This record gives sequence, structure tokens and C-alpha cells, in this order.
Amino acid sequence: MPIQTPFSNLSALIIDDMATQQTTLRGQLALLGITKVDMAMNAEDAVKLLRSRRYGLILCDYNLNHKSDGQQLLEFLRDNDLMPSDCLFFMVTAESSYASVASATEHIPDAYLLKPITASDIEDRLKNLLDRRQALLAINQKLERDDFQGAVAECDKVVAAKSRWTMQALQLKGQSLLKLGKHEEAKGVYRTALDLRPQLVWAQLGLARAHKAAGQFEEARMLAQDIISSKDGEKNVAAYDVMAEALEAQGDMQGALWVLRDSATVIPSPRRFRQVGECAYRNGDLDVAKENLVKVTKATKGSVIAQPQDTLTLAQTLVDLQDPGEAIKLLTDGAGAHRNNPAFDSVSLAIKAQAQVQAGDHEGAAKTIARARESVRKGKADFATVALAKAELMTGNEEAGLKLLETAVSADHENPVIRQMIGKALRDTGHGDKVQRVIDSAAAGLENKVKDAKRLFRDSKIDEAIAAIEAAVKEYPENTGVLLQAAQINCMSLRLKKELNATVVERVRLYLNRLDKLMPGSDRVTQMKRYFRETLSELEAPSLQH
Amino acid sequence: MERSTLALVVHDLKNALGHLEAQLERLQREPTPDGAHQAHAHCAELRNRFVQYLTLYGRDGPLEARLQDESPLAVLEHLRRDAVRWRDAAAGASIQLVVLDDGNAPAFCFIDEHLVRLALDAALHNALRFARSRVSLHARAEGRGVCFVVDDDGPGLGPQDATTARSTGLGTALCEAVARAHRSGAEAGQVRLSNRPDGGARFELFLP
Repeated sequence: MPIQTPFSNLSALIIDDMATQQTTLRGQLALLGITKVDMAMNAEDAVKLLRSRRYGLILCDYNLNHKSDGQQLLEFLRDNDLMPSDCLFFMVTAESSYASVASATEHIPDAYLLKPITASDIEDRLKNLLDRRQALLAINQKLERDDFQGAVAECDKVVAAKSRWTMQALQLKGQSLLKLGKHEEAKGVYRTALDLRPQLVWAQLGLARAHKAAGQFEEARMLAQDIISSKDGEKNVAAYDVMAEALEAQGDMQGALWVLRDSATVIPSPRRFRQVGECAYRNGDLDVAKENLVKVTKATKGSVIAQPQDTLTLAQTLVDLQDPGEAIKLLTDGAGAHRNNPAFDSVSLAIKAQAQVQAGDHEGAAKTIARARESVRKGKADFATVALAKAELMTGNEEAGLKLLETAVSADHENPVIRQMIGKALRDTGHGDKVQRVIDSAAAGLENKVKDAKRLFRDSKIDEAIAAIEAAVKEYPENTGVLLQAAQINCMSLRLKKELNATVVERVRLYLNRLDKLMPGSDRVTQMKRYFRETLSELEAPSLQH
Repeated sequence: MERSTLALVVHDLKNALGHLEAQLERLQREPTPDGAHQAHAHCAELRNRFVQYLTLYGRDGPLEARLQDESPLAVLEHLRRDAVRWRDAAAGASIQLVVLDDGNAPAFCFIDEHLVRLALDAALHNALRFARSRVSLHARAEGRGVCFVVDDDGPGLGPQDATTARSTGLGTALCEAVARAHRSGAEAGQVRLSNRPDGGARFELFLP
């Protein structure tokens, strides 16, 4: 007869490769009244279960098997949104590995359980976390619906009640304000928290982020540096990220790379190596790129958390390092691991064609590139288009290659990453003299379209302005610069006409959603969303008075 | 492991084994399945506790506090619950143990709960040994920090040296190590022992 407890409604997933440990944990959960329990022996099975079922509690052993550990699984689940936001993740570790496990983490689990585990251990943590969940429920419900304004109001209630969860509410409030683009208010919240506790790392970090969001990059960098120099924050990789982003925004790509390399020393995880590898590749620092991408592919080989892009970037790096043999071998191995992944296959062909040219197999290269042309989705500002363009340039199809690069620039002309990749592709293939021309001409064409639309708007030809910018969006649906302008011009038209035109409102929503996907976490998108919200509330306000 | 940390763990081990020993002795006199089950659970809990100490603090260098916002009253309530669970007839089960919510406790404080419970456990153990009928636990805000208080109604501190008169000295060393590990700016934690005006001893652990 199952016992009824406050935890009886939780359904749990135990992830452990040892059958005896599974049984023990199941027994301890049963003592707490948790009887809806599924088991997984490894990360792959766990991911399958999580895709189909909803759990409230996951107990995961740190040492799963040779392929992936519990920390990598947790990162994979959080990065891919495979865990409901209210699901608790407890990491089970042996005491001998706790120090290394707990200090070297980016995603922190809700709790660490040290073996041997007792039921009261689990109970203590569950009770505390469920209390917290209950206390912050209203806030999190708003956050789940992206209602950040509502979340701020709920945070204020918790803070006003002077409850035990005040600091947690302040933390959520700061995050919500940053999402709303209200960086000055966010700074105020973080300063309040720091008044209560000067060394609080999350508040220092929030303050640094708020400065970055406000475009105060130097201040942001210095605040992040202070965190890293402090005893409590020396292992805080998020602070390294803020610093790297601030440096990048200031145009110091090399400095950003150094900071990321430091962060990978602090937390040597596949995800950190990937970040360093990709950044080094874009900067043309091929040896560093290779070193780090090899680490990633080795660490994730054969695991559910392996990402096809890692293999592709590494193969391209090897080609750039004039090592076609290794590149082809890597791509052939990768084809097995990423079966049924059409995106991998097509880009892989484009890189393989480059390697074949280098190896002197021109006939093979011609056949491979023909297949690549059929399958690569063109006209995008992405790695795939640049890889294909490079293959075209290397096989002597200069016109086709340059055309592809031009379309890639046009697809997202303000994106510094794509500009960097295109410049590199041209220089690598002996077309360094054309960098300015390709990038500038494509960008200039677009700039003109945007400028035309803006001029029409200034001349009060509102409908013509909208028509012009909409035409640009239609031609370049994923160009972030165009989308931002389109959102702005549409918003301004709403304000001028003082009318909530449902079609225009829907259109702006669509663009903002698209921008969210194209540039996640971008401060510019956040600002535009704020402008849109203010536009709506200004137009809605008068009607409320009727 | 630093000497003070070592002292801390040894002291806790001594007290905890004392409880287990009494429990086993009773079980020897009157063997019951229930008693055996309880003793086993107690033993497992203890092993777990020491594994945690080793994990968290069994490294080189001084004791390090990992500060988090915690509710002081919840910390005291956990402490009380565990003490009630493991206390046996030999060590003053007749003594009333209460957590006082007198409205002076801050809603939250920044402490390392593992360390603080270790220190308060030692203080509580001591208080239970000397109390006549009652031990009370409470907390109050002090500056930006918190002060945990353990009061007993025993004979109070001896006339000469307060610390050595009442315990082996290890308990105090333990609490002082925990206090020192808690810092905020230039301020560090403190242990204070005093006599209460209406009789009995007062133990205070101040954490900035």
C-alpha cells in the first residue's frame, strides 16, 4: 500500500547504469511515497523517455558510462529544453569525485546527493525545493508565458512580504527586467541585492550584464573582471562569457578568444571547448581551433550529446590547415555517427570536395561538388553556404562561388560572424582582394533598400515606406538588420496612425519571433520588443477609458 | 585537513557514536526488530554524514564556507528534528527541546548550512548534557548578519574558564572554526559563551 506524502504526486526518473543502485534508489523513493518511477540505464534511454513523458524529479548518477556523464546529460537536457521547467534534477556522486564534479559545472543541478544516499537526504532537499517552488510559483508561471512584466509584479510581492525567498525573487526580477530591456531598473535591483550582501556573485554578474545591455561595454568588462578576480567568483564561467561578449562588442575578437580559452581551463567541458574552437576558427587561429574541436569530438564521440556541427567545423579546419587526408577520414567516420542527418551530409560533401581538390583528386572533387550543389540549402547566412562557396572557388567555379558568398552576406548583412567567415573563405582561396567588394556591395544594396524605406517614412509616405521595407523582408526573410528595421517602421506606422491595425501588429510579432530565433539573447531584439510593447500599450490606453 | 577541521569532525564523531552506542546497548538488553531497524538506519545516517564531511571539508587548506541564503528558523527546525530523531533515553530525552520564533530572526541569512549545523549540533549536544528540563533555540538579526542562540537551564558556566569547564574544548574549537570560516568583508563570525540572567548557560554563534 503506497504511503501518501507531499511527494506522492511526483513522477521520477532514475538514471543509473548499475542495477543494484537503481533498486536502492527506487526503494528510497518508495519510502517517501514516490512510486511512479521509471528507470534508464544510460543517457540515450533517458533522453528517449524524457521526450515522451513528463517528470517532476530526476535522480541521475554522475558516472553513467564511458560515453557521457551526468553533467553532460544535464547540459544537453537544459540546452535542448527536454526538461519541464519545474522538474528537479539531483546529481548522485561518490564523495571522491564530488569536489571535481561540483566545482566544474556550468549548469548546476538542483542538488547533489552524495553516496551512500538515505531517504531522509532526498526528503530534506525535496522539501526545501518544493517549498521554494511553491513560494515562487506565481513568478515562474508568468515567466513560462514570457510575461516578464507580470513576473516583475509577482517578484515585488515576494520582496514586499520580506519572505525567506526575497533574494531569489530579486534575482528573478533582475532577469525579467533585463528581458524587458529595462537595464537601468535591473541595475537598481542588483544594487539592492548587493547592499544586502556585497559579495553576491549573481548580483555582480547581473550588474555586469545590465551594463552590457546598456551598451556600456567597458564597465561590463570591468565588473566581470572583478567577479573573476574574487574568491567566490573565480570559477564563474558566466562572468567569462560576459567579458568575452563585451570584448567582441568592442571589436576585440582576439581578446574575446583569450577570455574564452581561460574559461575552458576553468571548466574543461565539451561545450566550453566547442565555444573556443568555433571562435578560434572564425578568428583564423586554426591550431587553437583544431586542438579544441578535437577535444569536443573525442569527448562526445558515440554519445547522444555529440553534435554534427563539431565534426563539420573540425573537418573544415583540417582542410584550411592543408590536411585533406585527415579531413576526409573524419567526414567518413562522421557519416556513420550522424546517419539520417541530411544537414550533415550536404555540408560534409562541400568540405569533402575541398579536401579532394587539395589531394589532387579533381575528378572526384567535381563529382562530390555536384552532389553538394543539389543538397545544400542556398541563400542562407550560414556555415553550409560558405563551405559550398569555398568548394566552388577551389574547383575553379569562381563566379558561382562569389555569387554564393554575396547571397550569404545579403541574407544577414549585419551579422559580424558571417562577415568574418566570408572574409576568411575569400582569403583562403586566394580571393583576398575581393573581400571588401563582396561584403560591401551586398551590404550596400541592402542598406540602400533600408534607407529608401526610412526616407519614404520621413517624407510621411508611410504606406510606401512599409511597402518598401516589406519587399526587402520578402527578399531576405532572415536578414536580422532588415527585420529589425521592418519591426521599427511598422511600429512607427502604428503610432503615427494611432490605430491598432491587427495585420501590422501580427506582422511585427512574427518578425520579433523570427529575430528571437536568429539572434537569441540579443540586446537589440530586446530593445525592439520593448518599443513594440510600449507602442501597443500607448495605443491600447485610450480605449480603456471608454 | 587543517587541525581545527579535524577537531571538528572528531568531536562530532565522538558525540554521534555515543548515541549509537547507547542505542545498541539498549538493543542488546531488549532485542526487537524495530529497534534493530532504527539502529541500522541511525548507523547508515551517520556513515552518510561522515562521507559528506570528508567530501566537503576533507581537503587541504582552511575550512571554506559555501554561503547561500537560508532561513535561520528552518535551519534550527532541521536541527531540532534530527536531535529528536536520534536522541535516546540515555541522553536526556526528558528534556524539552524547542525552537522559539520570537519574531527577531531575519527571514534569510547567508550561511553554509552544513557547517552551521555541525557547530550548532555540538552546542546543542553540550546544552542537552547540562540542562535540567529545557533547551531552547532561537535566532536574531545582528547587523547584516545573524546570531544563533542555544539556551539551557543548567548550572551555567563554571567560575573560572568557561570553555574548558564545560566540555573537552573540541566542541568550542569546532564552533570557532565554523565561525571563522564565515566572513563578510572585514568581519568574521564569533562564538560567545555567557550566563543567562535567569540561570543557565547561553551559547551564541554570530555569523556576519
